[in-house]
Amino acid sequence: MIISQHVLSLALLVALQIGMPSHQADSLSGLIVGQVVDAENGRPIMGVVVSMSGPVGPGGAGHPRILTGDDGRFVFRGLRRGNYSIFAAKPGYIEGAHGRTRPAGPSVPLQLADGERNGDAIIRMWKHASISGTVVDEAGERLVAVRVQAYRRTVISGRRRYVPTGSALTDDRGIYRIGGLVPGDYIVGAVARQTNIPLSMEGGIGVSSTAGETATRIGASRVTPGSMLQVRDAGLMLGAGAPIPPPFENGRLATYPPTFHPNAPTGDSATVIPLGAGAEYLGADLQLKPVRTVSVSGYVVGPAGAVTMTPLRLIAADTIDVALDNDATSTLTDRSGRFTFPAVPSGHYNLRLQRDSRRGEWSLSDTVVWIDLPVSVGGEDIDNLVVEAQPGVHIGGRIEFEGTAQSAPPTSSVSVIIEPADPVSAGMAGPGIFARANTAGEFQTQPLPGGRYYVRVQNSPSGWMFKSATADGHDVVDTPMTVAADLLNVVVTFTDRWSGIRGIVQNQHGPDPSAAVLIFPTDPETWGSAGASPRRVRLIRPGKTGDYSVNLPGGEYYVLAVPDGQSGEWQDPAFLDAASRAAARITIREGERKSQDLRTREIR
Amino acid sequence: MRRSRLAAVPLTLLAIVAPHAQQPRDNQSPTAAGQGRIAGIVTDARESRALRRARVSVSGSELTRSRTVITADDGTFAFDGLPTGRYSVSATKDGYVTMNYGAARPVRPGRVLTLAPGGSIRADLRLPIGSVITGTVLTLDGEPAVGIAVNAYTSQYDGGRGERRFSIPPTGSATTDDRGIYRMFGLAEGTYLVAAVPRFFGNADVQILTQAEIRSALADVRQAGVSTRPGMAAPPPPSNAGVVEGRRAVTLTPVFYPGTSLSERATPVVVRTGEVRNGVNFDLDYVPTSTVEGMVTIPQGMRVQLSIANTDPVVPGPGTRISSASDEGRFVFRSIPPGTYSIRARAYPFNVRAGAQPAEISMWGETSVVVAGEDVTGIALALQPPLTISGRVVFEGTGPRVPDLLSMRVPIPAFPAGISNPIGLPSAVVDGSRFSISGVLPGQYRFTSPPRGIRAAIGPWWMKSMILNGREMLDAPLELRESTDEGVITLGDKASELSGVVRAADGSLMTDGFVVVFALEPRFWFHQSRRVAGARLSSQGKYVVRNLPAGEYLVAVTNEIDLNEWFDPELLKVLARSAVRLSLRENEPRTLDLSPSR
Repeated sequence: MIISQHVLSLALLVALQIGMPSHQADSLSGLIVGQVVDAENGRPIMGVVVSMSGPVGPGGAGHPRILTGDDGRFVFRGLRRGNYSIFAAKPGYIEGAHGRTRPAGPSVPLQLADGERNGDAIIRMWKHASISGTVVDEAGERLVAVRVQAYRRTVISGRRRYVPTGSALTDDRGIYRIGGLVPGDYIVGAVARQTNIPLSMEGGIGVSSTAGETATRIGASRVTPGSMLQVRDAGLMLGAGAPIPPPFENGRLATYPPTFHPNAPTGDSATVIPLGAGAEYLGADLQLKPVRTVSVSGYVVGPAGAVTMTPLRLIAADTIDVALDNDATSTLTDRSGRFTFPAVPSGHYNLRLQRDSRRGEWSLSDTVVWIDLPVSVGGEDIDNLVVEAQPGVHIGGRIEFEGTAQSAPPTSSVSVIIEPADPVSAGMAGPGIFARANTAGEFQTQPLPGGRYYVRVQNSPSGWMFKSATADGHDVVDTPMTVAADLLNVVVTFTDRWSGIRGIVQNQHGPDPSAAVLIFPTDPETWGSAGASPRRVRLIRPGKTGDYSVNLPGGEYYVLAVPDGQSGEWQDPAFLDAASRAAARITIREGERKSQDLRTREIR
Repeated sequence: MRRSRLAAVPLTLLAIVAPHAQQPRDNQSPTAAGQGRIAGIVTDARESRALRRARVSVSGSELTRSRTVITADDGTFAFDGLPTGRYSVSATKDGYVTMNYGAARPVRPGRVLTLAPGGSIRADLRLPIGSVITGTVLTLDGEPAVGIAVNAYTSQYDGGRGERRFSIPPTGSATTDDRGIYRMFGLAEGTYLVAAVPRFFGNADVQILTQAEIRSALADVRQAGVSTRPGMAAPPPPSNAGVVEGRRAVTLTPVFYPGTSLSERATPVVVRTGEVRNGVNFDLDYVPTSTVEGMVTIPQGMRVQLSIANTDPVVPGPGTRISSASDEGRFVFRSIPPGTYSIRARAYPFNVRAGAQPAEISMWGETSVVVAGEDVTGIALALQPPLTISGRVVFEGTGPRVPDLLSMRVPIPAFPAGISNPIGLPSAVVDGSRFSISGVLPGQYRFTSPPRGIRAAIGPWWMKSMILNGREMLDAPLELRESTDEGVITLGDKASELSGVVRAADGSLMTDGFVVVFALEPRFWFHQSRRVAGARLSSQGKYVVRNLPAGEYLVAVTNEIDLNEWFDPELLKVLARSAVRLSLRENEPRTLDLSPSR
């Protein structure tokens, strides 16, 4: 990281020195002529809006947006030298960009020299795919206005996970059609969120009040006749994509639990639908069957007494593989801290205090408290559950420098990142929490919900490399720590003995700047549990001349170069397994810089 | 006609199948003694088939919140434990049209049910199956237009603004899928204007290159060939002049069925109950945008702010744009899509903030412009000062004079729909027997509530006349075009009174609905006219309307209307067919008992 920064600033310096005189002489005569084509068949696409960002033209004017004709052509004239990003948009297609070689791949700016005329700016676009089907209920009646959600397989933190990517409501014939899908592997399900409110707060809904605002955040925006079903002391919101439940039977309500195509209660047992660009998958039908529910109610008490007007969620315990947490059953605590989930099917759940997504912080106004309580629901109501909300925990420690030559830099330039280790922690705490060190080299976070976290750094001081972070002598960079109470003895160490790897990537024609360099530890155990931004599993794009360089802590690694089109799954352990068989194996010792030239090869 | 006779037969059959003991009821605590029940069945209005999983709601003043139940497989429902009181019931099911109990048409308020202590009321509801409008939206190259909103607009009388306005009913919106197909369902039968509305229409335009420009650019690239790598001597740069000249700036705008950007040229789509109307298709094309420019005279020591707003009554987009005039008075609006626009200019003294109250506006101007793809230049906008209207207040009678005589509620000026924040008429200032209103922008005005003294007296005083520049302002929509200081407002302490009861065919008193009294002559049928009145029947079945001027009137009874809807000329035309005629003399007390109109 540090080396690349140095290389970059050096490059900038050189560019500036060379650039100064020629900047004045910039002839504003650069020309880009390009074409938007369908990636599948190479045919030009009409009606695409092409936009460009980069150095502005004379007088500071931006670049016009061009609408392509039937030849798919676009022209930008009067350009300064510099890097230009070109994007292409047309409904029905995935956004195209200069340098994009796969549907969701990265874009590469076009580098234009002074007076250069570039005539081959080809932008490829892929068509969106779609999934459609019919939804019926247990009696075979077609369900109208029921939401069906598509989940695309992704790899997050080294784990396969299905995340919501598109949804549609069924029409009057019970038919849904989800378009706008990028190529990939999908499952679909009718997974309607159940939103409840305490009846005592109903009067505050839809008006400007704390209760109203809180209720709006969980989706209970307005109560109109027919929009809410009263179940004991709770109001269950109807509509919004959820099937209308059967009428009460002996005072009990049955509801429709999540159902995945073809007929699966969980995402794991759903049929995976592989979709290519422009594919149209028909017949992803669903039949929904109601299940009996019970009520789960109680009180939430925190360190400062009743936890009031706070969103709570009841998340099915088996939702690690499918991101259902946003569609979990939710409610609010009322003014006395009481809550009721009026209709819960039997199963294992986690009761969580819901993070406040609007403000980007957790949901309590004055003190941070958190709940992550397993709840098993059977055939009987659970009443008067007393849930103790825990006070937020602090994570802190100190910064250390292991220097041989130079003196330690100011520690106030260091930001430590506390990164949630799993989707569950991330759901409560957000993607990452920053803590800046003080001049004495100490850092401490704001209060966080308890959970599993990694400790990483955002940036290293100039000339130093991030070496380790430990708590009680255990590594917490690559192995998450479980935090339930304050943890203030984390040691973050930087070293000036850099280690890493560099080299040149080539294919049969010479240097291959379009490849992707993949580096990962030889120990497969570490592949799937390294967090969202792992330090030892890395994907690097080579420079214009095929050169690459990366800092790595000491260890045994696999390294290889793959075509960019294959790099999308780089955090998937199954892909890493296949890649390991084609990779070079290298050992990096502490303070050692290795050289390794690579040849691009495809993984099968 | 024929349809309703057919439907009547199964209804009688259904009446025999009484809701039974197993019907679903809401999850309330056990019935308290003396509390009543409302129960019934929800059926498809056309096929009389029981509708399961319909949502039925009851609301009433005795309930803190409306209650909802879901119908069983046989369509039955029941609310138990209802306190004595008055209730209204409605039913809804996705794909069907929501109906209030007792209403003949959707959206209409239904009948109020009076539940006696321990009573039980049967309330059956019949839901019409929704109509469907569906079609395909294509771009000019024949490809599907994806993600385009298609809306169905229906016009309804807005009792607050006093005009028919277009709005999108809850189910009247759909989005095209990846095939360009949209499908809106659950629509009530009726007449709709249907439009495909691009999401960011008119937001910023894009340019279409000419073939010549593309050819020239390709030639430039070829000419450069391999010899013009960076750093090497390049041939002279191609000229930009003239090349960009030929480009067309274009944008997407709403298209009304069957293919016009102007709503008045649209062909309405009429759907009957349950009809599936296919083939309501659209071709969406980029249209050229225009520059609109002109000059405005700038008064000494002032700055001028201008706005341009689309005045289409149906899709008034894409929103008002604001501009300031240059020191010389030149103004420019760029990238304006085709349509009819209103340009308004306001001059403010330098020390007054923009958007100030009319009284603070020194000068004012307005013009309308039609944009049709060509640039519009040379608009000359003259500014004029706002009006001042003043005069005498004449009291005919002996009562004490009231000082706050004319503090009428601020009315809404009758600017075309789509202009947000229209400026209201300022309040009058009354000093002794004189009144004055200053800072009035010329134009038509509509009152949002009846002018004071018309339907209710101000103390002992009734409004009798308001004459400005020789015209009686109370007998036509209020239009203020010129200043005057010789206005006369007359107030009197006597008024006519029309009252009576309404009896049903069986002789019982009707306690639910409205009596509408309106002038025979349609020229008096305007919003908040003093010759049009609606009176709600009291719980004793009585109605009363005061201060109608002498003249010929029609009187009708209806419960199928909303508040203030009696000012809608379309509705009065319908009511006139079943109305009773009445001659009323000046300040005459008159009793008229009525029976419901058929």
